[in-house]
Amino acid sequence: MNGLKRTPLFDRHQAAGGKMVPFAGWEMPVSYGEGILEEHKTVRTHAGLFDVSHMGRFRFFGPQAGPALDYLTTGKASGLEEGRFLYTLLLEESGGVIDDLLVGRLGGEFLVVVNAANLQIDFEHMSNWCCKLGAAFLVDESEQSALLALQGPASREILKKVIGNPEELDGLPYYRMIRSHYSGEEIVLSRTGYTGELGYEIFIDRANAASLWDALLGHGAKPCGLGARDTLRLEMGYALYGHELDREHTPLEAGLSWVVDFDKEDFIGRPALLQQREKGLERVLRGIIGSRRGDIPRPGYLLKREGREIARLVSGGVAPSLGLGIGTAYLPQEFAAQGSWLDLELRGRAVEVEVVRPPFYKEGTAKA
Amino acid sequence: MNIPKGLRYTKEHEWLHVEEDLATIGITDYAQKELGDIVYVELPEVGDMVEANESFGTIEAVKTVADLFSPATGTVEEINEALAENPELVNTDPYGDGWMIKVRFTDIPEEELLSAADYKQMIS
Repeated sequence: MNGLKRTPLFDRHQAAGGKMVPFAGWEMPVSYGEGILEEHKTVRTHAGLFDVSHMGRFRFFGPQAGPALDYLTTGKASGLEEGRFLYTLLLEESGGVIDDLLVGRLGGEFLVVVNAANLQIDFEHMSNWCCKLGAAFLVDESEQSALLALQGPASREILKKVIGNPEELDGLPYYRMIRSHYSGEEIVLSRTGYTGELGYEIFIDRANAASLWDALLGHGAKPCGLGARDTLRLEMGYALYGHELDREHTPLEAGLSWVVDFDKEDFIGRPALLQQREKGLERVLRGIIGSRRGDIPRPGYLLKREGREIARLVSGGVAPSLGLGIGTAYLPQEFAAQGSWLDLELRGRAVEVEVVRPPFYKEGTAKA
Repeated sequence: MNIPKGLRYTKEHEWLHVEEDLATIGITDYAQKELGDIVYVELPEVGDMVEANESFGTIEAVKTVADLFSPATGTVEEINEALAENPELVNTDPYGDGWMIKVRFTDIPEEELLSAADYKQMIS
């Protein structure tokens, strides 16, 4: 495919029968031979291995790096202990979301993981502020490394078989990382992911990525693609940029006020969020769930009550673990009550859907 | 890619098998591979009229949804009830247990249909 970038694992995807599609400028596997449903089930019950090397990785450092991140994001990066990760957001002045990201502290510096589609925008936004704030430096190191996500209840036992310090993995809590070794080379393991299951993300040098990929598959993990990544995240109600998150909606509306630290004196978007909080929210992000197996919501489908248009879905699809269709939408407060019913316009017919609060799937092992 | 010689095909990736005035219709192996995991097939009811080149149902896959187009005009004689519980039959056996409807037809616009060889060329 012309002009698309390939990760260091491209050959492995092809060899494993990966169905390659364009995604955020990359040629990525949407699924492998056994299909999305099987991959989804593998992650919920055993262990799946994802190539997420398309995601951006920045190194952020300098004497003012902590304060700069505090100003740029909704979280308090300066207070992060060594080896911890933080889920946070970059906002516009208006409170709209530029991107969602992970910020971690490692070796006194910050490691920032961003969405592939927003890499350039994030980098420019952050480096502009580095210039203004001074004494903070940003380097895009995405192309130097690979990023693998091993996800599922069996992921810990599988990972222990291939790394140099397996004993350290047992005590590693959610959203923390450690340095480790794979075949003599240093790697970083973080207990993070996007599936709702126990899992790890592995930062590894490009040159060793394929060997680690093979080793993890050799110990029973199954390759999984973007398709399963999406069904898994939607079942958990995890936000996906471009769907639940965009510049038109604030974190308060998106149900992400828990990642906004109002105790910080100032950060980009704070005045707008305070004002919104004061006024009250007109609309909030909610989940909807179908009542019949064949009713599968899709992004853009219309929600109605008594013929009146209420909202369009921002995400929608199959929840394989539930056997039902699910979706998300920004609903006006008067229609957002849990347990209420709305009509979903589904290809020319109207079906009833229930308003719920995600997660749709409640058995995840991520924090176990 | 499996493209049986005895069948005829549409540009929208349905196949058609004709025996006297009864036409069995389904989607091709290529189509099921492109769609991926099929999770639901919405079919007409027995006795409904279907029109050539018009939609007779929809097929929901995990990633997408698509219309099903009829290569024949006529009355639905039988639908594949098994797909209600096991839509994955369309993935595992698109020309066999994954068939969709049987139509007692009055017309099949022949000029719209492709032979196996022509269909193979179209998708290659």
